[in-house]
Amino acid sequence: MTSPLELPEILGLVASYLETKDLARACQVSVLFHNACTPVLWHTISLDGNRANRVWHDDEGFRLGLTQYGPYIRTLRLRISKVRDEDMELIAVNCTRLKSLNLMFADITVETLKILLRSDPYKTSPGSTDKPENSDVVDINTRMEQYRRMVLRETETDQDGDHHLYGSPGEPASSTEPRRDQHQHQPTGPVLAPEPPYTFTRARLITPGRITATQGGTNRPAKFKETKIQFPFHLEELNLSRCRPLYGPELFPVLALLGPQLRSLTLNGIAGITDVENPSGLIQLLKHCPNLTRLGLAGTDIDDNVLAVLAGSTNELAPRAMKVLNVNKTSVSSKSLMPLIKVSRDKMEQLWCPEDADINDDVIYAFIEDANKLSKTAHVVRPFVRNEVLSVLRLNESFDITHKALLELFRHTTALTIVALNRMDVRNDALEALASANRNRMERLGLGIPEAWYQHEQGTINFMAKKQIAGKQPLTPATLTRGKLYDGAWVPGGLQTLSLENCIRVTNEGVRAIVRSCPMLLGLNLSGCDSVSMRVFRGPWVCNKMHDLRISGVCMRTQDRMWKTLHLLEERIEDERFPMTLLPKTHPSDDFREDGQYDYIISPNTMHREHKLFGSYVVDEDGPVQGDTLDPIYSRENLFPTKEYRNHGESRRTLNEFYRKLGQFDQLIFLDMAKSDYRIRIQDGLDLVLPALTKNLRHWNMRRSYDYIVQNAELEWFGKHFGYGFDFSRNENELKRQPKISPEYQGFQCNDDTKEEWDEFPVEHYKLSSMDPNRVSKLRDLYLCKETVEWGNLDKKIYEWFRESGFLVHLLNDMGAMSNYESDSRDESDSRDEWDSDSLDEE
Amino acid sequence: MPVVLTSSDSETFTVDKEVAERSILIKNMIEDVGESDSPIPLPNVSSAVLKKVIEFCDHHRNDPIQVQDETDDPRKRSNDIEEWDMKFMQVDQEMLFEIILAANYLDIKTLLDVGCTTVANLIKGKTPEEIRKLFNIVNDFTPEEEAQIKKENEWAEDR
Repeated sequence: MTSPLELPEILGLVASYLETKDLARACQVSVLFHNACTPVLWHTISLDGNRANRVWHDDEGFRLGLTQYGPYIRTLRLRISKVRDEDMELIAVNCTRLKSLNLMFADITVETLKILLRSDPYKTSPGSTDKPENSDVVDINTRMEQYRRMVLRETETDQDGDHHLYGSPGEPASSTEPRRDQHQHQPTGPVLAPEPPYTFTRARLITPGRITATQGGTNRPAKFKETKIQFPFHLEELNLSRCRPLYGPELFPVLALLGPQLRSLTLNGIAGITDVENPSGLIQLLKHCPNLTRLGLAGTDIDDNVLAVLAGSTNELAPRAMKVLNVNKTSVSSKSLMPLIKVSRDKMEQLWCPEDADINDDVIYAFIEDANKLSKTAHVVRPFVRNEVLSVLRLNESFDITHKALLELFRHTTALTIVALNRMDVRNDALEALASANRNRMERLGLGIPEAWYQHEQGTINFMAKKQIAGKQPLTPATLTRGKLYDGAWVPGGLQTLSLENCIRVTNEGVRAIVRSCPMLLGLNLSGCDSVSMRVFRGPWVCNKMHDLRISGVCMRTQDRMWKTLHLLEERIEDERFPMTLLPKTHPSDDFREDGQYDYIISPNTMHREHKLFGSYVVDEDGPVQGDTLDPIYSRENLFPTKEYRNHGESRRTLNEFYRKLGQFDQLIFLDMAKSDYRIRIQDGLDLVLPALTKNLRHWNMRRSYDYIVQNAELEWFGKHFGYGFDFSRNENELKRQPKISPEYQGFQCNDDTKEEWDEFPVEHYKLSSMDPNRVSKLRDLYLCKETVEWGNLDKKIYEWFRESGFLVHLLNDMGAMSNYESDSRDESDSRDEWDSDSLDEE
Repeated sequence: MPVVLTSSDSETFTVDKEVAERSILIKNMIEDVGESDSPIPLPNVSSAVLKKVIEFCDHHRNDPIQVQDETDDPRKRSNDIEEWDMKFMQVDQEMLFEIILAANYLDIKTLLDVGCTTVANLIKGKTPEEIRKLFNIVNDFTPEEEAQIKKENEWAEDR
């Protein structure tokens, strides 16, 4: 039998499913494997973090590879600290088909950049004799295509000499087709080594002579035969964000050389974009680059003028439909943004608005308003039209945008994948509209609707029917007609990340609609959503591919009094939808720690405080509650506290459901569950997280105020399941068995700049850091409260051992963890009695 | 309208047209020949493999036809396999390879993808020597070549 692994196209397909590390190993298997895996491995090169400088400058093997496989590189992401002239020459000589170059954060000068971009093949740049005019655009584009074809031919003939082992990256089909026929007719039998059809050429070692003997690019591609450096005719994307020495007025004339090629330019944090002496620099660049429709200008000094020019309001440029626009941290306002969005309505995929700026509903309506039907009555009834292109929308802290506008937006957009609405007035109805759009999309694609959602709706209907019976209107609960059920297949697109940090109007109801409708949700940020409670983890979620979950400040009991009645209704309906399962009866000793103290889930300090707050007097908000206020609880040592302070069955069940849910997120990388009101205890089912969280989790934040500190038992648990897997038994021999962590696996710190760049979901970042292979899990960053060590009754030995289990323990002073004590405890205890069917009886 | 397929060992299978047309090869054949009762011969596929392939197509009969990814990047593919597909692919290596070859021959993209993902998952985390052993591949590099390629790839393994 022929092995399919002898067919290059199948091997290529297999290679496309491999990650960098596995590709690198697969390359070393055989000549065939090498030929199939190398193009995939070198297609995208991303050097990040600590290793970037080391690999780029010092790794001889990498340089060797670069000189051989450079033409395969389409995307180069190089995070080295300084890009010198010779580095740029290395790129220019070898990466002849580079499409996307990312040099974020590098120390690079315009002079160095000129090594890559020095000629003016399109004659569109400033100072060129040909005057660029709009009528020329078509001509320029055809010229660009001609140049590209010419270069493609040249590098191919070049490769015939040097690279025929690897086939030609440009035309993989032609090189693999004949091979397939050959193999299909091979006789059955043991897999024979295929006759090496190619001869292996010696790799050319990079020599200084070869690099310095460059004359630079010229205007005419015909001259390229003289030198290896040629104009980067395939370069379309350039990211120079935060390359500090770069300065707008010097930079723009150089970038303009790319002419019609340039489609995407990111200059976040570059100084002097609108220079006083040369205010039109960026506008000149836009004139020379008619295809530039993806612009990243976050943190620059641009103002409304630039956007007005893009929108065509000033007649300097034809209105340009932008695909991507990042104007975060700039001073643009609705005034200029709205006309530009109107122009770009059918094209704009990504928009990142400035935070806390003058952005209002006009911007939102511009995306969904039907310009053709706008009439005088538009202010009464707005004519809306579906928007099928908008995919990424970041509106954080746009306080002037109303919840009504957001509701209309989510009703009329179908392609949203990333939505950030931090601190905004978003409400449940908008989230339900977003969830509904996602379900409709899945239905249109023929994928069906998640069963969890049917159950959710059916439960609501059943509950309402019961209500109506009580209201003397007998009604049998209607049964939903079910269409196709979603079976877990891969959904292309769909909502991926949703950030709702500090959206205090959002409750469990809205979050449930999202998590039961969006199977592709990878990131969810509910930090500071005071009206969301831990009960949101009850019942099914369909988004089990989650990478990033942030529920910092989400408590067992919701903090918001205003919406209390609605909460209670929603939770009753939820009980109807998904009745809670009973837990095995807990043994009373489970609730005592080693030192004989009662082990609270929710600290009486908080509860006590609330009682006092709404009882006879208000306690001092600032200082910790001390002395006699705590006496009723702590005076009876080793005994149960009074019933109201005891751990409730409801809390146990909620935590159990929560840990069970975490145990389904086997792709979770980042988990933030800080600042909450429950203690993390093993006996509440912490073991349930193990099957999933030991796989990929890197970062776990469990900061708590000092009442909730992690104890010895939990430290042992973390050390055993997330460290090196050793069960610490205070046994000297056991301790000695532990390998010492090598220093290279310690201390991956991301600086603030980097964090900013990754914004809400720094997941990619965590994937990049290296990890000691001996570890049981990938967890490395663990955030604990400072008081854990200072005030907790921690065994020093356990703590030291735990530290040596290879965690970066971040000790943070977090006195303000419980910032909001204003929860109405009376309502809460009423409702708890209803839920709390199996709470512990008095002994 | 059912379609009759004949395997290499002359066993016949009757399947729904909808199921058979998951294979682009068969779909094109039916389109070319027009509706007819005569069986479609599949000389490259044995009955054991054809049975598996039909099982797969039957399970996925209602799936939407995959839209071709426009992305330029050859990597970025998901490594996820549906649970049913994963169980379906729990077969010995010979069968796995035959399924892949059949999927390639019959032009069933989803099955080919699932098969290749399964192979990729087998390769994951293995050293070159382990991969060779796993698939019975002969190392046809010269020692110099091997040393050089090892050197070229060290940077990528270190992560």
